[in-house]
This record gives sequence, structure tokens and C-alpha cells, in this order.
Amino acid sequence: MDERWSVHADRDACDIAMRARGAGRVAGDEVFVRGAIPDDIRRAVLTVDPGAVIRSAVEGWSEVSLDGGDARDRFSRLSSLRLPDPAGYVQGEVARVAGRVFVDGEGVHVLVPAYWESYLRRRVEEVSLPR
Amino acid sequence: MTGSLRLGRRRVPVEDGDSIASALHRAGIRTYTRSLKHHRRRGLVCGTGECPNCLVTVDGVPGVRACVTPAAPGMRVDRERGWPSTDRDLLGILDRLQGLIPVGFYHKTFIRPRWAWRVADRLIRATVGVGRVDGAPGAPGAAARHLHRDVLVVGAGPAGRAAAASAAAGGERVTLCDAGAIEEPPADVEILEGHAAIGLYLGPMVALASAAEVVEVHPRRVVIATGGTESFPVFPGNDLPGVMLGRAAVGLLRRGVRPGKRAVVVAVQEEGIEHLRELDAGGVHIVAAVVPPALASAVPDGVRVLAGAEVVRAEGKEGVRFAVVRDADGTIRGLGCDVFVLSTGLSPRDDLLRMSGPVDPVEVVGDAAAAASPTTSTGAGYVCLCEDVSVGDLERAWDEGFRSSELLKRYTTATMGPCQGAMCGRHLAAFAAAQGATANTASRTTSRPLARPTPLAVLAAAGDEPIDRRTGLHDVHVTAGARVSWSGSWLRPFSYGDPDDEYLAVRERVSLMDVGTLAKFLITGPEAAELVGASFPVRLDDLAPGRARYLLALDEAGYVFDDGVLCSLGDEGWYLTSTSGGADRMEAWLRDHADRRGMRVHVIDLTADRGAILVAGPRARELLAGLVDQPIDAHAFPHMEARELTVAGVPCGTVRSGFVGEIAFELHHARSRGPELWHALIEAGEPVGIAPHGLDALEVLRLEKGHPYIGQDTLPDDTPAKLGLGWAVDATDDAFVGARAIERLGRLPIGRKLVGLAFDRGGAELRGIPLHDGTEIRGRVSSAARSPVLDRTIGLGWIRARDDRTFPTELRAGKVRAEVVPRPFYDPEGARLRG
Repeated sequence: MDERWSVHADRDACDIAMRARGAGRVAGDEVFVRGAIPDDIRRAVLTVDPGAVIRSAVEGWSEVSLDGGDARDRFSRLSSLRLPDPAGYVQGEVARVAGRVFVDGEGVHVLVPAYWESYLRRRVEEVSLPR
Repeated sequence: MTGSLRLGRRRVPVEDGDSIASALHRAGIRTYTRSLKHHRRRGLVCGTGECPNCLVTVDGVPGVRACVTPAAPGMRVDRERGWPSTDRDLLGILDRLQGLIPVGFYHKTFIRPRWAWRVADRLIRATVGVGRVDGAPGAPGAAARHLHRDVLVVGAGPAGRAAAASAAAGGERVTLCDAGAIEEPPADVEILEGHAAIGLYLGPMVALASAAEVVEVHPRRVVIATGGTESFPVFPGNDLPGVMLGRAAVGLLRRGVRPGKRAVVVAVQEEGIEHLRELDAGGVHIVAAVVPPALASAVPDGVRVLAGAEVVRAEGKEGVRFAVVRDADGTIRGLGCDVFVLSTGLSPRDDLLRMSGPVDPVEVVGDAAAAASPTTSTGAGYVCLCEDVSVGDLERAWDEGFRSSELLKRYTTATMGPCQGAMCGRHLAAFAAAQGATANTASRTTSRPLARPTPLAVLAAAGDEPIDRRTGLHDVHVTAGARVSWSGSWLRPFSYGDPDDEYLAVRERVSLMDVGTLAKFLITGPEAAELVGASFPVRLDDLAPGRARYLLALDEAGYVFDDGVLCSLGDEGWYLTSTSGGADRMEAWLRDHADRRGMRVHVIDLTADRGAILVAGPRARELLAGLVDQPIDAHAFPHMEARELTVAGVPCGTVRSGFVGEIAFELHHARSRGPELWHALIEAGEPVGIAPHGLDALEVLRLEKGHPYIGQDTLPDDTPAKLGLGWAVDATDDAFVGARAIERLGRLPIGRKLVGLAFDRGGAELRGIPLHDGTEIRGRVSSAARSPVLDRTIGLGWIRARDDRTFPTELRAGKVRAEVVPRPFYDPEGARLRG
């Protein structure tokens, strides 16, 4: 996914941001969007909360995806998080670091702060080795 | 016959369906191990994998339960304990010397001389140890995974299978686990054979362990169907080989092995009568059946019945030879036998249940939910087979004042062995109750994980490798040959090969440093200034947009927990950098204060988004001048200012600040542009002798400026005044966090402070050494380094005031003279960094 956005806004504006496809509620005042934010949603957020900050998260958040039929099984070796079924967003510890997890038809997509990317890739490779 | 296993030099035939224990028993082996302390012979007792009596080493793996482990041809089985052998154990003399090693003896002996315990410790370990660890790196460890289910059923006996089937029929996703094999598994149920439940935690979460993995199951509800453990009555001689529980005896029989030729059977309930019948039908001569009068009629014809008799003791040397009972009329009777079978009721296997809380969705079914049979004790004999604790030991401990089941446990170690109280827990509680302990002090001891012995290699499956953070320049450093190592949770370059030259590059030429590890925050929103002002003791009213200021972060007690640099971005808010390891705490702290005050503020952590490169040295401006799009001379871009610059085509938030005491620019850039920017700077700096520096050089550079590392040079209760940083607190403000504490502490004399130190020799090795004034220890060296530019050893340290509230100025760090001197050591006027 080429685009990632963080929306920092008040609760009502965040509710609007949640309409974006690939949106996950990080906190009452923060929404993370894995993908693009349509212009109409962007405008609506800023209308409701003129002080909202909508900023690209491409630099700060790295994505590591687990795909294939065993993606959920491999993810279960990294995290105690209960994955949404069939799709959705969940956040919490993944391989003991803070992760944001999107599930869709293509697999399980784990986003972590960029400084943990290499660590997470290593862990994903480990759990992907044939057992 | 399908083959044989090896027991020492002996070959033991193995037949289909054999456990290791049944194969050994068929071969006439009765002594499986020696007891922990007294080295008494121990034979098969429970037959269900509960007790410690049949632990053997199999193919080098110690602690294997012979009674529940299938035998396989080619196995190498070694018995544990005993010297020179388990059968002929010279340490068996300890059984006769019990008076010299009473319970708790190691708490009160071997105290003087002090080396005595070291010797005793080694001897004790040598005599009680189980197996050996070879120390060689093992194969890849077990795996760990998580499992989310609606229902987890623990235990696959009839009750567990029924519960699992019922839940599955109701449409729930069910997992059924058992430490052993699972026969007749229900339909639509996930089966985990060989997975023992070792702990129940909040959630609920149940940890399962097998030989190959740890599974952390997160069910919506747990059904405990772990059945019951046969009660183990306490009487003299109850640990003799040949004294065994009913399930062990029939278990052998079902594998085609007679447990003995002549048996005395004690049966107090229906299952015991079943055992009696099975043994009788299996060709074991039943010498007598000891049963309650109500069950006398259930005893098979032809078996001598001793209705209402009680067990007195078992006698024998290498194994049981007589079961001694007291008839209902009081007659003492010795019954010759080679196996004494005890079927005296069940204790629910409830350790998992006792780990759960009152609101956990945990149900118990089957024998695990049944009431425990009464414990039976004649007032002597072994209570805890694992730890070799007798009734006499408990009485001694009680007399010494350990008067509750929990205290008895800790002092005697009863219940702390491999069975974790399954065999003895109720006896311990009953003993305390019988001595007069109140109900709460005579209760079962607390049940904690691990419920079942689990190899460390399996437990290690849940431990992961160290988590490392890397900046966007990590690969650049590695390619440059840097020595990269841990600094907190970050991997950082310590040196690129020549730390002395790196130091000189900063002081005489120009240098780069990756400071992307700095915590970085954007604080924005309508009330951002209010949050910053309330959170930090920093003056804001004169901090114009584009200006930067050093700040301290204090907690409510006025203690310093972090420091950093604050830049005013005008209407866009504030940009804050703080120490590398403190980002998480700083963010949580700021958010907490914003939430508590209901402020409309966004605290955005940019630590991962932004890289940062420090360009420092007397020729830093010269280097950058050719790469930027704006003037950066001292007048246009003075010290402690911040602005946007484009450097070599890379947009950078630039701060004229630094830690090293030279002209310095911190270039904060998009993380992905870091390598491009770094290489451009290196290339442009070649004519002026640029060299990047690592943490080794930084340590000397920052010490020369007298800058403390918060956390390394400071203590948790250091105030700004103690650190000599009182100037960083805005005296006109009384509304920041910690203000009231600072005001109160300001009225008290300072009892300890951080000072600059000059040593007459030495270097970094002085760090941590106590400072003394010839009579008393007055402090400690927190950092030290040899300064090339000063040609002397300098450092920081904290010192305590004397009784007259003055501070010493002449000290010694070991034998090295240390003089308290003003900071900074280098360029005290700051002319070079402002240059």
C-alpha cells in the first residue's frame, strides 16, 4: 500500500475519518488510514475540526504483510491479538512491539514504527520458515 | 517382542503397548530412582504421571516420566540419583543419618566459616540433582503460538470429551487438549494431544506445553476436566517400592505385566473394587482385601476380606514384604506380599482451577469437580515424595513456628517438587488443620504456574530475540565499517574505526553524527502552548518563532526525568526533541497531562518519521554553505535557532544546537532521505577532512562540555539544582509540573550534587568508582574520559555534603586523585558553539 495517513483530530472528526477505506481507530483522537483519504472525507474532517492534522505516515510506519492461506497461523506465532474475521483493524503487541494490524482478503498487514521494520521482517521470516 | 531398550548395560525387552515403566517392571526392575534427600529406594507409585518416583533419563533427556512414556526399541534409559548406582547407592546411608539433616537444615547450618556453604552447596547439588545438562547448543527450540477459541476443554477423559462434544454441537469453536493421547476424539473439535495445561492466567489465557511448542490459548471460556489424582495415604513405609496406587497396578496389568505375585489391596470406594477385581482376574494372588464394611460384599469370591481394617505400615527393605494392618477388633496383622495396592479415593486435580479468579469464565466437570476423599494419615510416613518430607518433618517445622500451610511449604519445600502438590497438597493442609491452624492458614497453598514440569527449552519458546531499533542510516553505518552495538534499545555506531580521529574531526574540522535516535514530537493544536508551559519549567513568552531552548522535564516531585530542546514553530506549534530512550515515556507523559486538563492538543510522535544528522565542527558552516539555499552565517542563523533549510536537495528542519560544543546544525529530515543526505554531506565534506563520529567520541566531547546524560549521570531523585541546571527552570513560573516541589526543595540545603571532576590519571574505567575523602565515601564517579584537548582525565560524579553542609573539593577515586572543578571543562564561555 503506497499511502498511509494519520489523522489527529477531535472525536467527531475522527468518526468521519473512519469512513475512509482502510481506516483504523488508533485512539479517540487519532485515526490511521492504510490507503488514500478521499478528498470529501478530508474536507469533512477539517470542517468539523479546523485544527485537525492530517499527515502522511509513509515515513514513520513500515508495513510487513503475511499473505497466503497460512497467514493467520503465522501471525498467531507473533501475537496474541485476535484478528478480525474476515477483515478489519486491530492494534496491540506484535512480536512484542506496538503494531497496527489490518486484515483484508489479501492477508494480514502489520504496520510498525519504521525503526522496528528490520526486526519485524526478521521475525516474520522466522515464523514463515517450514516447520 | 518388538525389540529392547537399554538400561545401563542391560537390555530390557519391549513389547507392543509398553510404557517404559511396564517394560522395566516386566524385567524385574522395582527401584526406579532414589529419593531426594534420604536416598531411599523409590518405585512405581501413581502410574499416571503425577509423582516423581519414576523419573528417568531417556536418551539424555532427564525428568522423563517412565509410567506414561511409551517405550521404544533402542531407547537408552538411565536411572537418576544414586552413587555409584541406583540399585547400590552408598548415599543410602543418608537415610540412617536423617537426624543430621533435618528439615530446613540448610537454612541454619554451614554459616561459619563462610566458605562452608559453598562446599555444602556443591555437595548437596551433586547428591540431589536430576540428570545433567551437557551445555552444548541444542537444536532449534520449540515454537510458540496463540490460539483464539470459544471454548478450551482441558482434559480428554469421558467428562472432557463430553463437554467438548456438547460445546461443538452448540456451534462453538472448541479445542480439546490433554497431556497424553486422546482416544475417541469428538467430532468438530480441534484436538491437541500431548499438550499439558501448565498455567491459567488473566484473560483467561491458558498456556499449553508440548514437547515441540507452547500454545497460549485465549478462549472465551475454559472447561477444566482434568480428573482426579488417586489419594496417597500416609503411613510408615508408604514409599517402599511395591507400595503403589490402584491405577498404577492395573495400568501395568493392562500392558500385560503383573504388578506383583502377591498383593494386599486397600479399596475404599467403587474404583478400588474395580481395581481389586481386575488384579484378581489378571492372575495376581490377592492376599487380602482391606475394605470398609459396606464394600465387603463387593469383593470377589475367594478373596480374603478384612472389613473395617486400617493400614498401619508397610515393611520391607528393598521393597514391600509385609502390609501391616489393624483389624476392626484391634488385632495387628502382618500380611506377606510383594505389592501393596492402595485405592483410597480421589483428589480432584484442581490446580488450574485454583489459579483462576472468581470472575474468570472457568467451569469444572467430572472428577475435577468432585469432593476430595478424606486424607488418611497414621501420624508417620512420607507426605511429600518429591521433596522427601515426612510427617516428622512437618511436626518439627510446626514446632519451630512455621504454623500455616504456606509457611510449612516454604520451610519444608513440601508441594514444591515435580508433582506441585498433586500428591501431597491436601495432606499439608490437613496437617496444619490438625495442629490447630485456623481455616485460612490451613488452606491449600496457592496454586501457581507451572502446573506441570516443563522443559526450559519449551518455556524458552515464548522468549523472543532482543528487539532492536534502527535509524534510517543503519545500513550506511554498517557499510562504512562502523562498530554498531546496543545503546538502550537502539543499534548505534560507536566508532567508524578511529575514535581519536573522529574526536579531532569534531574539534578541528567537521563531522557527522546520526542522531536520528532522538525522540521527536510535534505538539500542535489550539492549546499546545498551554500544554508545553504547564508541562515544562521553560520560559515561553520570550521564545519567538524560530527560536529554540534547552528544557528539563520534571515529575511532580520536582525530579528530573528527561531533557531536550524545544523549538517554537509559531502557529504550527512546537517541535520537541528529547533523549533517545525516553520517547515512549515522554509521549505518554504529555498525553496524560493533556488528557487530564482536557486540552485540545495533538502530541504527535515523529521519532520514527524523522531522521536527524548532526553536522558539527569549526568548519560545519563552511561545509553546509555550499549545500543550502539560504545564508547560514552566525548572524543569519545564530545558535539556538531553528528553521527550514533545503540541504543538498533534502528538506530539513534545522536546529542550531548540539551536544559537542562546536558550531553544530541538527538536520531533521524525512527518514527515507537520510542516506541521500548523509552521502551528500560526506562527499561535500571530503575537502575539509570530514569524518563521522560515533558514541565513543561523543562520550569525550560531551564530557568536555560537562553535559550529563540523564539516567547515566543522574539519579532518580535529582533536582535541577542538584545537577547544576537550576538556570533551566523558569523562576517566574509557578504553574509547571513539579513547580511546588521545586519551590519547597529550594528552601532546603542541597545534600548532594553533580560536579565536574578532574583526575590526575586514568580514563573511562573510573566510572562507577566511589569517591572518598580519606575517611568516608562521599560520592561516586558517574562518567570519566581522557580529554585530548585538555590533556587530562575529566569526569562527572555526584558528591554528598559533609555534616557542616560544605562539599569536599579534594577526593580520591580509589587511588586516583580527583579534584572538584567547574563545568564546562572546554570552552566555558561557549564562544566556539556560538561561533
